[in-house]
Amino acid sequence: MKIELRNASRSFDSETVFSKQNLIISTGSLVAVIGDNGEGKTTLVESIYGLQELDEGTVSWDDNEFDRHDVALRRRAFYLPFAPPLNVFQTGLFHLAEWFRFWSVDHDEAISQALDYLERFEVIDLVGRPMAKLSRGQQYKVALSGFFSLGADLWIFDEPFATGMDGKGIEIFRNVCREAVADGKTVIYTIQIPELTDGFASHVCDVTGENISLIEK
Amino acid sequence: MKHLLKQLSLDETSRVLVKSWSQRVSPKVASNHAAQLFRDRLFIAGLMVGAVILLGVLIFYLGVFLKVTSFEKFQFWLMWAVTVSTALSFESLLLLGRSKDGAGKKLLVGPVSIFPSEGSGEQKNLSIPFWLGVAGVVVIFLLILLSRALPEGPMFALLWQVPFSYATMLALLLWVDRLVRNIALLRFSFWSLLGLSLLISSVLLAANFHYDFSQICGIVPAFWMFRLDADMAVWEVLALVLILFISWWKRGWLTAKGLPVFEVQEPEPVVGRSAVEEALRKALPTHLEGEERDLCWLMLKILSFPLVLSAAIFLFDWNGGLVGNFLLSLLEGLLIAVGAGVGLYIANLSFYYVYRIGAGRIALPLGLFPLGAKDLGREFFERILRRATVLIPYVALSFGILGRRHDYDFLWSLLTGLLLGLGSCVTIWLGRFWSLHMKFDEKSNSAGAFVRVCWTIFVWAPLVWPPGVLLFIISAERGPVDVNSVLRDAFGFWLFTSLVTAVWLAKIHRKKVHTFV
Repeated sequence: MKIELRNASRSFDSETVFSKQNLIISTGSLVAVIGDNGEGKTTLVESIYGLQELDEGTVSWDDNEFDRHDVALRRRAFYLPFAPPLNVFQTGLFHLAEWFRFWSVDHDEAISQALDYLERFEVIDLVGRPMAKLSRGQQYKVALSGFFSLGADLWIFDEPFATGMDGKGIEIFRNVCREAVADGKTVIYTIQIPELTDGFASHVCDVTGENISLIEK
Repeated sequence: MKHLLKQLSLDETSRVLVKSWSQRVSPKVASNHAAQLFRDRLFIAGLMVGAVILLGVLIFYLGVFLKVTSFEKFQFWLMWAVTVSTALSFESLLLLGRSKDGAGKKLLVGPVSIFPSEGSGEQKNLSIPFWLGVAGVVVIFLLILLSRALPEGPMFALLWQVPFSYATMLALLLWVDRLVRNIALLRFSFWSLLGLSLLISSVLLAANFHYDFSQICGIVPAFWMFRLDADMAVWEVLALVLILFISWWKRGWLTAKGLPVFEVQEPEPVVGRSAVEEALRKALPTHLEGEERDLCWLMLKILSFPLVLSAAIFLFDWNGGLVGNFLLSLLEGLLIAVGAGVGLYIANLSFYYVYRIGAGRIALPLGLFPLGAKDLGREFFERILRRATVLIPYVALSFGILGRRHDYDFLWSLLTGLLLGLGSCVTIWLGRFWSLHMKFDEKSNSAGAFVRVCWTIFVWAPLVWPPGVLLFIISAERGPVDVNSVLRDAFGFWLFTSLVTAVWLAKIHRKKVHTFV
């Protein structure tokens, strides 16, 4: 999915996060959004996803201007926050089923995929338990397994490397993202440490000051 | 209700997902998930039963208001409605958990529907709580009709107070301790105690036994009954002996043979984390972490109910009268349960720490922390202290309001519960220690449990209660000591701790406690 921001501005009270910025992310890109704390990484990705509304400017997905009311368009993407929205009383299975319903996906195929991912992450035995009984990293792996299986074209992650996942989990995450990009999907994630983008991201989106710049690696 | 029904009715996606998943994981994992689902439905079934009770209360209160019936009959109906509903919920849970062949574990995986016509086999079972709830409503109406034909007076009150006191006491304690997960044992205990207490009340009724009605108006009057008359104690002993006899005679009931056994995990003090709850939790003292914060939050939630009741009584001046008496009774029962819960939790925690010390096997019989374990010991007491500091303002507020307004001895209620819980703590320590050193093979489980329970009750418990009684007297500042009264208190205390210990022992026994060390 191609993403385009035109003349985008966003500010909180008197503090400007970015102002009149343009950005084009091509289909099949794996973009790392980098920047220091409070620079606006999360604001940017949430604006791309439509979770936050721009003060000024537009966001386009595949040349279609983002419309909050266009549910079919919104279902072409997912955004996994740093802390996934989980009901700790409910099991992983419950959450997977909920997400499949929300995204209205073909459940047979998605279920099979999700179970594959759960096996890869080695958390398949844990999804029958309430989420509260899983560690933070395990919770994130369950969430990843579900979201990976939604068939979305645009994947957005906020700080995926600071979610408590172990090294093996992070490696699987990287590999799945690479496979997705090879399959024509667009992956965007935020990260605070530029060095960690090496060998993974195809582009780096630097959020500094009020500017946004995209650099190919 | 719509939400509840939705919860009971899994949709197609969930159905396929759960089925596919259960095919990929080991039977044990799937079984654990089944137990989880079971507990979810336990909660829903509980809500349904609660709704039925509430509905009944409203209907009957309306009856009292319209002078169709009396307050005394209202009490009769209310208590029996609760008892019957509790029984129904137990039975529904058992039915839920029973497999097709009537034995062993049941895998609650697959579609769920409240309508028996939908789904098949085990799926149909899940409609049972719903229909039992409906049956509960019918029973309640029948009770209303029945109660109108019954006579009034102190003897009449005995019919509901004695059985209900036992059932409620047990249910509250089991609930507080989350022993409810052991459904088979709960069922056994419930029916045994209910049946026996009915028997006792019938005999007492036949013997024209007199007692002071005002003293046992609490919702958990069993504690007060122990203090009424020495004659009562004789019946209690007989009841206990009978319970023990039945537990031996029908020992199969406590095993997987007769009833389903659900594999459960060790309890984790997990509480909800909605936005509001999270905000409240954050308001807790910052020096508390993880499990402690969870526990404190849980305690606050438990205590908030008495607090709300206290405020209601104070604000609306409900001192006496129909609503006031009911609320005061409810409050008293809750305070006793809270106190007992705290005591039992301390038992758990203390046991855990003692065993972490490693030398616990040697130290435990003496109730002392061994040398070299000072840090752990200090940590333990500091934790208790920290928890107490969180609870004190709430308790103080609650009692402050009540103390100024009423003559009712709520502090006594809480202390009673706390002391009962702490007394149980010591007994449980001793009982657990003994259990851990007893090696029973699988085949002799029931007999082993029986022997252990008897041994604990008759050997360990009497060693424990005298200090408890002393605490009773000192803390309550009840004036000159009446020896007879003390003896009766002591007996009640002993019986209570013994019963709790018996249930506890049976529980840990079922979990093959010797693997715990």
